[in-house]
Amino acid sequence: MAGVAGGGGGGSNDFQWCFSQVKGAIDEDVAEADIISTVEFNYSGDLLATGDKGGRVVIFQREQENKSRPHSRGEYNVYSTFQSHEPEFDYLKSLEIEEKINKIRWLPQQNAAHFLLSTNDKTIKLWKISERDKRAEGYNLKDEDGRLRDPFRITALRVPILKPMDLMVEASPRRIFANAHTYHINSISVNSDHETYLSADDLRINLWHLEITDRSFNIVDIKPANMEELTEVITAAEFHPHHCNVFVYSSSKGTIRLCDMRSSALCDRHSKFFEEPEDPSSRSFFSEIISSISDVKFSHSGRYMMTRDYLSVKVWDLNMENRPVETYQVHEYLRSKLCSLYENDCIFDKFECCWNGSDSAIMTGSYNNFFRMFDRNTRRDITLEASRESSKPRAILKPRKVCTGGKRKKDEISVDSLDFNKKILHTAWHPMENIIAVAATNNLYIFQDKIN
Amino acid sequence: MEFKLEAHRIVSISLGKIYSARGQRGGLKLHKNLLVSLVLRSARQVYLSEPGCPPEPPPAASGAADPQPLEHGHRGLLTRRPRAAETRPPPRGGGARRTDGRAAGPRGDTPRPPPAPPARRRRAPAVAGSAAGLRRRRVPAPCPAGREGPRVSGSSSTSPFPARRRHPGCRLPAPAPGAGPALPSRSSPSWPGRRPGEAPRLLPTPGALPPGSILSLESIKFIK
Repeated sequence: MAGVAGGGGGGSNDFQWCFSQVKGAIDEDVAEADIISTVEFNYSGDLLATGDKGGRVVIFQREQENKSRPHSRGEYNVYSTFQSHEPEFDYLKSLEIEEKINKIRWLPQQNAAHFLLSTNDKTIKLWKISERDKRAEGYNLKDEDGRLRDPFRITALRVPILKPMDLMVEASPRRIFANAHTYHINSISVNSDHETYLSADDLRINLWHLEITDRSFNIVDIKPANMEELTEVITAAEFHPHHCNVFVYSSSKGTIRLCDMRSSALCDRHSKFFEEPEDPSSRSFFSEIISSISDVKFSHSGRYMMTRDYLSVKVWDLNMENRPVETYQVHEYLRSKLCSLYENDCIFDKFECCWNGSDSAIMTGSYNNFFRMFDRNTRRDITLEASRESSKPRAILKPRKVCTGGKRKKDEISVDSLDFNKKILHTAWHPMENIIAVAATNNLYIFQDKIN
Repeated sequence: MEFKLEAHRIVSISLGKIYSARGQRGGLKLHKNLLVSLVLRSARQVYLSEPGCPPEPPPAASGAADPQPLEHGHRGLLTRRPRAAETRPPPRGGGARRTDGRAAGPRGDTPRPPPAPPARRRRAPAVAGSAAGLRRRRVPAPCPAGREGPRVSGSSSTSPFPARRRHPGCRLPAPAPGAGPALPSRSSPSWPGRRPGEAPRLLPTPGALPPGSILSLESIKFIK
């Protein structure tokens, strides 16, 4: 349904989002370990992975479409659950290393098994997820329950035969990439060559080969000789989707640097530098914080990239460095509340953003379990809410509106009523269809477009 | 005056955040603490300015006729010298840097004696009262108990700083019950002394303190 994906989520009349599924506990009391910290579709969109603060990864698989109900889309059901990272302790620095999964990135599928990279603050792991639906029976040296047989009691030889069994999905760690980051890892990105990937922490970016765990190459290092002169950190990094020599990284100062690994082995000098001049009239105590970029994503085409800062999303043309080509305000009504948001730490929230499959629409999260979609063609935007109240199967999501002042209309919500504990930081869009996954604290909502 | 109160409040909040960051699970978050230190620096500059008029630039930068316009100065204001990433000499050792699977030890770090908790640096502005006294300096060894300074052992969850920051003539506004903090409205300038069309001159000019000098972010975790 590529044509529908082209329509985007911009609220055009012939396009509406419906509730599909919600995963997670309904309890009001949310355990911190259950808070979802990353969401990612794989390349085909059949698998959806989530990571949480407890270090667990849950993978959902889309069911095959039911022939008896041709118009119903496949549902996502749990495919595999495993503990990816455990809490660790750095004895040298007396610091605990959190098990929270910061990012998951899928590898392109090359055989029957699926591979993904998951990372916490310090260690990246390559996981192999494979299915097993056959079991060998009739071993000579061991019993059916695995106990070794007494060799003197074996009087005959037989050939083991394969018998079908209930499908079992196994996740096993195939590579562990450790001890390469002094600071907290914020990004990983698989290269288009399918052989290498990068990992970025606050001050450095390392290049890895997927087969080699005891070595990585440092390609960016912005650590000053004297840490007291530190003025900016790396906040996100990503490889270009097609050019395996190009990557970008964003900074806490609102700048993006594009680097070409062909120009030198060390990419401390950028090839392109993207920065929008600051508007002096909007200067405040918190200007630096709200200009810090929390996420950067290339478009699928590779021509554009999108950055998310605290109040807006910007689309940049890689050919134009001095300003973005499009700017979308996510929740401008918060600009006058920055002091409160600084006090309650919300101003440090790192929102992510994502493109739809055709790059015609972008999506990002906000507070009160609201998330926003912008249609780049029609320039329309829509605010939707991920809530249990609108969780009836195929219920159409009603657009929400925040009232910024004056009289509050019916169905509008005022800024002061927003729940800042309900934040949507992580969202994902199916690579080809109009299916979105939205993480609301410990719940994962799946929405899809209305079936005609 | 209200701007000074606002700045004072932000300084208190920022110090509280830095102090409480020590005990956070997962260790010091460099990004967050850097942002907090930038806010702290901006607020401190406003706080130290004369009430009602724009502050004098620090003597070190008094030669500059005009503060840098903000659209280009966003970087210049915050860095004393060009970004380290761009001016550092060519890579050490040539070729790609390789880590041998062990922790990439900090390169170029000069071991520093563990400095005292940040509060001691805070005392200088209250006493000196002038920007000239805010040069970067090494803080002496921790004060014995009984003198002003945060409790470094058995610290409570509330920050001790706001109480100490008060001095005559500056009272924190009593919060109205149920109301949020006094926020500058969008229509009124949040920077004192600024008239329409005039660029704010409160932010430090080049040559002023870089943010890192307020506190050593890395050194905080050595504070016991």
